[in-house]
Amino acid sequence: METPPDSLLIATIAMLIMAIFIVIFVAYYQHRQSHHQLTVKEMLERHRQELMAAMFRGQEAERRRLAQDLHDDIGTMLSVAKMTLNQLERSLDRYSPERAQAYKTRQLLDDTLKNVRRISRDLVPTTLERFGLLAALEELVGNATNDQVRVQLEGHDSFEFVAPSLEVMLYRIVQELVTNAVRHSGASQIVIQFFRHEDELRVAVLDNGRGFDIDEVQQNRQRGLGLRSIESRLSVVEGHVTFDVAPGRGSRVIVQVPLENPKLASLLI
Amino acid sequence: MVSFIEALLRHTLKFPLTVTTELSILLPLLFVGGYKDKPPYLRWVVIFIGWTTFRNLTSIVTSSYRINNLMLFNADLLVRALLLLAMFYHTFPYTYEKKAIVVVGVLFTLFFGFDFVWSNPNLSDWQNHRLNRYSYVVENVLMLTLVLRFFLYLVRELPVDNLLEYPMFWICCGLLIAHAGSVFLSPFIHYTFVWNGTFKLPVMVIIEQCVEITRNIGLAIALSHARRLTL
Repeated sequence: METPPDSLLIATIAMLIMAIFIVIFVAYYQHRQSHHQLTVKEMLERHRQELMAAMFRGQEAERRRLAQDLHDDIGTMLSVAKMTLNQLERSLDRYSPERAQAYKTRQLLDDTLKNVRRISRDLVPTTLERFGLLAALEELVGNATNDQVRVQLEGHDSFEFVAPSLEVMLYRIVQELVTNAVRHSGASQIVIQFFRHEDELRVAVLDNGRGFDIDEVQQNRQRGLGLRSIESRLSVVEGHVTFDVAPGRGSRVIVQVPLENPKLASLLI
Repeated sequence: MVSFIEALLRHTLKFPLTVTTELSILLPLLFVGGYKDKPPYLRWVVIFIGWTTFRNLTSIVTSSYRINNLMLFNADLLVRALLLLAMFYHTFPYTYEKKAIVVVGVLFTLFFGFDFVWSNPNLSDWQNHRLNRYSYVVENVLMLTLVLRFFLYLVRELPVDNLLEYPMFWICCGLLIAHAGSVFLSPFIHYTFVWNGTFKLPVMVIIEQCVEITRNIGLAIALSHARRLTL
């Protein structure tokens, strides 16, 4: 019979206690570090959202300044030039070639003035600021509708859920999607739908155009700029965009914006 | 057949905790399967469990018939150490660590061979065959070092979000407790374990067997989590 010393038992128990302590320590420390890392990640995400929101706010301010300059300075100067030309035209002999030249120039000035007003209006939708999103979108629909394409707006009841802070963002997104559909899809009908689904607002822009390859567009820096801009805007409010598109059939773009997120929405103000 | 069952029963009744410990390896076996797209270290864990099951069942049978099985235990030492080294080889991320594990595996095999011959100068004498003198201690220290190195990697680099669902964490917990519980016992087993010899330290034996059951429970938890794991 062999009998190892008692110290062996004590050493083994001490070793086991140490092992258990190490396991607990590793589990606790790792949990704490993971939690810390998650917090840092959330802070970075929040910071990114704030930067993005600041960028969009700056973009809107810059558009407003540009629109004001166009309207107040260039628009006024063009109007004065037109009036002066009117006077000059009247002083010229009715059948002289100079009068015909002046008339032509006045027409050109008229067109330029209209374009300046249109650009100014596109830069800052004054209807949005004065009368809200519904009126602005109705105006957008009216402007986009022509002989080739018919644009419809549906879901008027859902506009009451849209927070004022989200209005500019939603307007810009819809504007981008409608412009894309009119310019590139060759669609004859475009429908904009607003509806509430649980705790989120959904905006769907549907068209019966030729569709497109989303991967190809997203890889193309120039063409994918508008879509990336939509994604960036939505990332500020933790929204999502889904492109149900393919070449050869109409496209269906659905934008989802959470309604119960005032903290994020406040970033846009 | 009747005598076989009788012998097994007699052995089980005489050493219930030993048999329970040896059969506890069947617990992780319940969760084996479905590792086609899982990390490669899990395959080595499954091979380890398969080998240990074979060793334990062989041990139960040979012990029931009073057949000398110390050679099996010596062989088990080398096989399990190499299987666990292979598991760690696939777990550690850096090349230098992988190279070090290969070198350690080769050195350990050479040392084991040397220790085996040194502990048993007369290899044909099965009746007085002894367990290796130093290999058990070296294996324990080696495994403790690897487990601690892996824990260091876990806390420094945070490769996983939830540690409690990470299979390797449970495997290492089991190994740490098992080897910590037997590291001080190992030096003594060479001097006390000859065939038909007795070892008068019941508490130590109980601890030894409890830590082995703990290791097997750790393996079972690891494999149950491994089913949900993605590469």
